[in-house]
Amino acid sequence: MTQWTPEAEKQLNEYLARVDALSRANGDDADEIVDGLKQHIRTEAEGKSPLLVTDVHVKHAIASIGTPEQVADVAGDSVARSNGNGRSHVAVEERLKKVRPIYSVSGRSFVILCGLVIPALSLMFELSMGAMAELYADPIPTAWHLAAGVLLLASILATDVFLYMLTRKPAESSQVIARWHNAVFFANAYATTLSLIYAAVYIPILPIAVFALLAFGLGIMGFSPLFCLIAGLFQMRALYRLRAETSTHWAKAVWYSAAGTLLVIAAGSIYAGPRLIAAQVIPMALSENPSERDRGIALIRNLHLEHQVLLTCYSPIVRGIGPTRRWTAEDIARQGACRDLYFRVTGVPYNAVPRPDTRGTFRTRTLMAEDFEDARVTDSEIGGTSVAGRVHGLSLHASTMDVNIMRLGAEGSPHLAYMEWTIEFNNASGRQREARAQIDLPHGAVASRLTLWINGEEREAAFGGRDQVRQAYQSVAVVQRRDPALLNVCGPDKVLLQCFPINAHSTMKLKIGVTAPIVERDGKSYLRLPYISERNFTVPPEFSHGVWVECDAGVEASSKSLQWEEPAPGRIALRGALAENDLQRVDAGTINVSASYTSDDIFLGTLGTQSATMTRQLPNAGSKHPICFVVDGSASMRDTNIPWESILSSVPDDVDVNAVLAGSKVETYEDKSSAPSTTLGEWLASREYVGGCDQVPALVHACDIAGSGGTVIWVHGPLPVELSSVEPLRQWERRRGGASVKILSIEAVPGPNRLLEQCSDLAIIERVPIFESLEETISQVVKIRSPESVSAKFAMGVSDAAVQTAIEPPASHLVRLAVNDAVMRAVQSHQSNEIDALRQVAIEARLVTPLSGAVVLETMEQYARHGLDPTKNEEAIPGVPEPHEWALIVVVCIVLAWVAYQRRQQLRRA
Amino acid sequence: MHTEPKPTAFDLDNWVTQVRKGLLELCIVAVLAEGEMYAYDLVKRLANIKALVITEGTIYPLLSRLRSAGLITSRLEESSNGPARKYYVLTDEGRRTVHAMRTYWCGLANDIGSLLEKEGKP
Repeated sequence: MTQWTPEAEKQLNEYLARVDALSRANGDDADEIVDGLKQHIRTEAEGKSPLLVTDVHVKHAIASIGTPEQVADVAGDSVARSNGNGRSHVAVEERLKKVRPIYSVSGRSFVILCGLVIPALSLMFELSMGAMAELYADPIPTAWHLAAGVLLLASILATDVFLYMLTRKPAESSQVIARWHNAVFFANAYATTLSLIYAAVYIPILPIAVFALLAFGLGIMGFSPLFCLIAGLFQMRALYRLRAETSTHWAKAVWYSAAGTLLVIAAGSIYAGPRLIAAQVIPMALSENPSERDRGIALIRNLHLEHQVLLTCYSPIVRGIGPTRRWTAEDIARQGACRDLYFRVTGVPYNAVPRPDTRGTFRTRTLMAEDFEDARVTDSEIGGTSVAGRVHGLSLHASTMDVNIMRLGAEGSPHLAYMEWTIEFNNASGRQREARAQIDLPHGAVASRLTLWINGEEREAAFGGRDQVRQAYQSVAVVQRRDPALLNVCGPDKVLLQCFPINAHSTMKLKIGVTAPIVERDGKSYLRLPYISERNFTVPPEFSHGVWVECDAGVEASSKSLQWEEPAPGRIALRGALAENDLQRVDAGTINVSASYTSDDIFLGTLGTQSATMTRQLPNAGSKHPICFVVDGSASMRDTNIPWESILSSVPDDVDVNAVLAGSKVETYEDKSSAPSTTLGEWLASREYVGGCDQVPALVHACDIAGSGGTVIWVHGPLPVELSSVEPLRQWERRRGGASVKILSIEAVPGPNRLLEQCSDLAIIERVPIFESLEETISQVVKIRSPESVSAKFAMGVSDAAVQTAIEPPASHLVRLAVNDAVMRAVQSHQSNEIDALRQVAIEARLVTPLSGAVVLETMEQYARHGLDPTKNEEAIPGVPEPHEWALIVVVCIVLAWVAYQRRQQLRRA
Repeated sequence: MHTEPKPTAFDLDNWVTQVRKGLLELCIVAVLAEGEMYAYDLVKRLANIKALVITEGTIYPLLSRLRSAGLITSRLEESSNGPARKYYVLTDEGRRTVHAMRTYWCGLANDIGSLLEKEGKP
């Protein structure tokens, strides 16, 4: 094998490259000629030097072959060939003379003015003013569009230079054609196709542009896409004429043209394809026809168009041009329907995922601080009754939770808890924002305080009727845009917090007080810390809530983030920081109170003029009535991995058990038609959990199965949208009676639940708090058929029986819980005659209940205008005691214990 | 005043070059009429015709054009000494063309020969 030196290879390649360029210019088959020459030179050189070929050998071989110009027949001594194909440069020059008329000075002037200058000015004008984006449709929605536009102008310019070189400098034409003709055909096809697409999109704007041009002398920018298209077509005509006149062997140029066109079509398809497909599929998925709707949802899942649906949740298609460009009621309804659809498709609430970037335009995102579209989205939600979508720039800035667990009396008596959650929001955007959050309270808890810092001063809320405080908030927040905060009940153990405006680049701080009972289950006592289940702001990934729990009994937390302390003799504290996700998790957000309650005394508490009693009440013995599980078939349940076999093994043999899957269709285990040999546990474990599913039909069906006295155990994930009316459940309770069946709701995955919110006034549904694992919780509920093992029974007024006066401050909290309990019972039993009186009691006790709410306004004049008084019953404002108060409380406890001890001793002696 | 255009000197070299070029295609097809031939050998064979004074490399564009015109065709054959070799052969149309060219050339050469003989006689 002969070796070639690098210099020899280089010499050969340079020679062949030159021949290649000249042959192409002549229209010859350059590849064939170069191949032949290559073989020839190799044979010649290797014949001379079989072992090693150097550049000297190559030079000798080339000398006998001739220069590239001689080979390509374009040497100076050549003349035009007689066949007229113009294969010499002289012929090319002759032919180019014919091209000049079609790329004349006037034509070129048009290309430069209309294909380059006006579009370039339009691009800059649009970037600075965004007129077209405001008026019709954004031509530069992304940086890619800007790059494509710049490339379009560069393509027109490059083609122009190419044609100019050929028509004005024919002496260099062969080399120019050889080197650039493929690239220029590609660029021209790219520019023409892109201009065509833009021209087609902006055709509707042309009449307005013509009118503006004729009437005001403005609007020439609107013609830019059309001008670009004409310039591109003009250049294309010149190029193909040139091709026809100078050579018939430019086959590759056509392929490069096709490639330029395909590039634009492919890029356009990647960008707009999903949108165009989604525009067809989403209406199908929103159809009233169930089969068409299912087909649409399946298509969205299969084509992975979830992101397109999410975009539509925030930014629906806007109709109209210019001043007529407004959201119609249909657009807004469609946006709401898309939010429901997102849940149906994914099983995830649309506001539980980061908000997609819908801030209008590339221009507004990069060149301007704010945009117009986001403002429209936010404005429609302010002061509303739902948390709705995430807003840009708003985040949780700080959060601290002070929890005080207090014993009602001597050792062995039950505890109550009062906690104050201080929250600070930060608005990093340039617009005023409203923070909205749904907060899950501990089971049976009531919000008993709301304060807002205004000008650095902590202001207490005024309490009033639910509608009264909302009207006051809407009036001050939405209309006057001053500093109010609102807290209202939005479901069982759920409150909705709203505050507006959080000014641009500033913070807002508020505090919520919550009174909660300690729940007993299976011989243990628990307090679940409140957490945010739905929000319209972001929580930074590294964010944590500062938690400080104090108790006179032993307390412990499952989370290692909370450290045990003993700040004073007989006082135990848990301190630390919990991440947002940890606070939502049962195993981290639960405080275990290690006190055994032995007292069955009736405790009396007073708050202002109100008094109430509390005692511990054992539930009824386990029922033998049937149990029917309703399992949510949504995707959120997929990872819960509930060990159904193990749970079902704890069900007594004499209790009938059945199960219903609330999937895209309601499936019942007893139908068994699909798999008759599977057990109930196997059947539940093998179900498919997809998308977000309606629960109401399954619950009604389960109530029918469980029947009178039966229990429906509903294990579910979030239900952030109202997929169907809850009226069938209401009818069931109305016709069959509230006590006849019980639905125990177990929230396997935390999150908003519209069904529970809608059913908060139904007695048949009870929410089961989760303190342990899902398996333990469901097993316990199967056993006791109740949310608690020992429930706290409250009663308003003074009991006839012997009572023990509870110590302060838990005594006042006892009354708060009793009032909340009375309100809940009155609402659920629809006792309209009691409701008005209870509303007044709740307002006087300064509580947030289904009948009353809390609002902070800025001035006394605003309160007075809405019939509210924040100073009313100020003595009813609860608080976490300061450290110096603890000493007094401890002394009081010791004295009470001493008195109780002495009394018992006296009784014994007697 | 009317002036006679300046007479252009006759370029004998250019005339010779054009005659050679015109004959080159005839020579190629004439050689290939003898049978299939490796391109390198074909070039060397033509280079040996001293009167043609060809630049060897110019044969390759002519071969390419003749192939494009359908007069000849090529095939590759593996070689033990290096890369595959390209062999050229006349097509049927090529044979007919060679025949026509030969007829024309012989007639032309005969007539021009006669003419030149007469011209050379005193």
